[in-house]
Amino acid sequence: MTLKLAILGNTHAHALQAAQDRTPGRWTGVDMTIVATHGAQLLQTRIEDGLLVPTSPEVALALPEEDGLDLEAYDAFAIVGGQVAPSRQMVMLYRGARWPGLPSLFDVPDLAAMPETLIPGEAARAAIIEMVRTEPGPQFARMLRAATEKPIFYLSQPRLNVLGCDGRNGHVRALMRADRSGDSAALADMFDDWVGDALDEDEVIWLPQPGPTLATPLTTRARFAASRKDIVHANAIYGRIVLDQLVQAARSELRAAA
Amino acid sequence: MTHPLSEAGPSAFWSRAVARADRARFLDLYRPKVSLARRTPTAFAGAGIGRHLAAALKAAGGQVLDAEPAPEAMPRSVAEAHGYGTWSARFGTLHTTRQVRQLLDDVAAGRVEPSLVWSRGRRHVDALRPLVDPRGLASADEVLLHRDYHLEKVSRLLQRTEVLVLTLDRVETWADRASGRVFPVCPGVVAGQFDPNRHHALTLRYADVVTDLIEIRRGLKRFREDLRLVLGVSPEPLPATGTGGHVLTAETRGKATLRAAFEDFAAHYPDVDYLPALEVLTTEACGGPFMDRHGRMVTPDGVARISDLFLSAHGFDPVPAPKAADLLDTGTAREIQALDALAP
Repeated sequence: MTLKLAILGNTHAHALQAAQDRTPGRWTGVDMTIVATHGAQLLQTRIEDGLLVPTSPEVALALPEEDGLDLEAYDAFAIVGGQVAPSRQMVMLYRGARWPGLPSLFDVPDLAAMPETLIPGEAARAAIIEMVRTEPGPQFARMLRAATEKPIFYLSQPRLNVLGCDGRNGHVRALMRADRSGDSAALADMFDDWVGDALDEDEVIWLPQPGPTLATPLTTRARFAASRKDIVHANAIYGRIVLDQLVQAARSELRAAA
Repeated sequence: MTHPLSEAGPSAFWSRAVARADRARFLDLYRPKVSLARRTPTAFAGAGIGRHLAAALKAAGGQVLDAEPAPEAMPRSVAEAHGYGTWSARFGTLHTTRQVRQLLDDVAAGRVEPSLVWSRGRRHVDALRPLVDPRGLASADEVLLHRDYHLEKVSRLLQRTEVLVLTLDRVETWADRASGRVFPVCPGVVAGQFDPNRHHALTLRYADVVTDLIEIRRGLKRFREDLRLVLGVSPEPLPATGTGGHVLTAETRGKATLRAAFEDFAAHYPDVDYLPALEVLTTEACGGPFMDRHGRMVTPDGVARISDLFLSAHGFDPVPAPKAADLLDTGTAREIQALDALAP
């Protein structure tokens, strides 16, 4: 039986589209519809009589049918990108705070003199959950969940590519500091756990970035960059690994449900 | 023939100062001895109305200190729920003079006691500020780490503070018989366990409050000799009394005790002021009471009224009234919710 997947995302969905275009026979028995919009455009939709209906011309053009996407026609859904990434929420918080569970705290002789605020681990978790839930992707996931009981997966946005770790902006510098101080593995684990918790509230399943694509816990390997000029997005090889992960997770979830 | 009243100004006479006065703006109701200018490092601690005064002073351009600011990226709702941005440190709510005195002693001694960690299921909370972490923390060690950090931050805060505005609202507290330690919330209500052999309800009398104030002033001077103090009584009522009597009489007695002790104490020292918040917010003479229909929360109009009084007395321009939604104190709300649920 064919597994029908609808994959909806922002520009990060292009890597998956490229993978499907290059290796169309790889996922036998899977019928994938991939919708790639821009920025927060997924929110330029509404659900009407079981259809995901565009509310802007841009999204109408991105959908396979301009009238909308029939949710009943799919076995599972996946959301890609949606501005959820450790380089956004986690690094933003890390720039101004430290919390128990981060190894670097053991090396701080005077915590009260530290420029960052020491916050409880629970406050860090609550902050990440709230930050994630207000991003466009999770907002869209909530809207989708209200309209369907079918499995919804959330695919991680690729982490910052190592080629971009040149310290030119504050975010990147904070990320590099996390790597140097030995905090990056803990931050990555916490991020995956807490995003998982945030999405679990809407019964959306978080799929963390696959391990083989990572250079360090918080960065993506150079060879997965879309191009030398575009290191924000990933390429088709990355897309293939992620699609493998998604197809496996969807099959497993649907088997368990059956 | 002359006598003191023949030489008194208009503010001494009810007919002039109240009955025929603009009730929104009584002249000379608050004549501070303690000067507070735009660049005066000012800290706020306590309960209730003080946090709104802090917000008003900040909005008016005053220098309001915050020793434990929330990280910039932390969403506001999360920050407030975890005690950030409400007072000048993550004090939680300081209701009584005894709590403040105890805190200053702990700060001076750097005292962190493992016995003052309460558990709630598998989570752990700081017994001295049990409402600052809504879900509790993962381990007792983490509670102690944050307690130690808090005390160190408060120490540094007090060394920078020139004016401390302290608004308190209770004389009732819960105490440990052996150590004399007081807790802002009855053990067992939000965490911990009540043990009748260890814990008891304690009501501070007038003399206790004055003694505490003397020790508070002395304690503050250890950090900064020129530190000045502004005292106010916040009108939010006790959610429940441990006296065995009626909560209304317990509440009235508590506010009357604080009110009398604070002004008497302020009259005695040149570096201490009494801010008449209770009168402005609760009396009909001032156009009030400015409390919600349950008599629990100060209304936005009330906040605007007392903020105007405070700011104008110190030479600041008025600031817009806050929105009702911004007035909720999530920590105290959790205590009230827990106690309301216990009401038979």
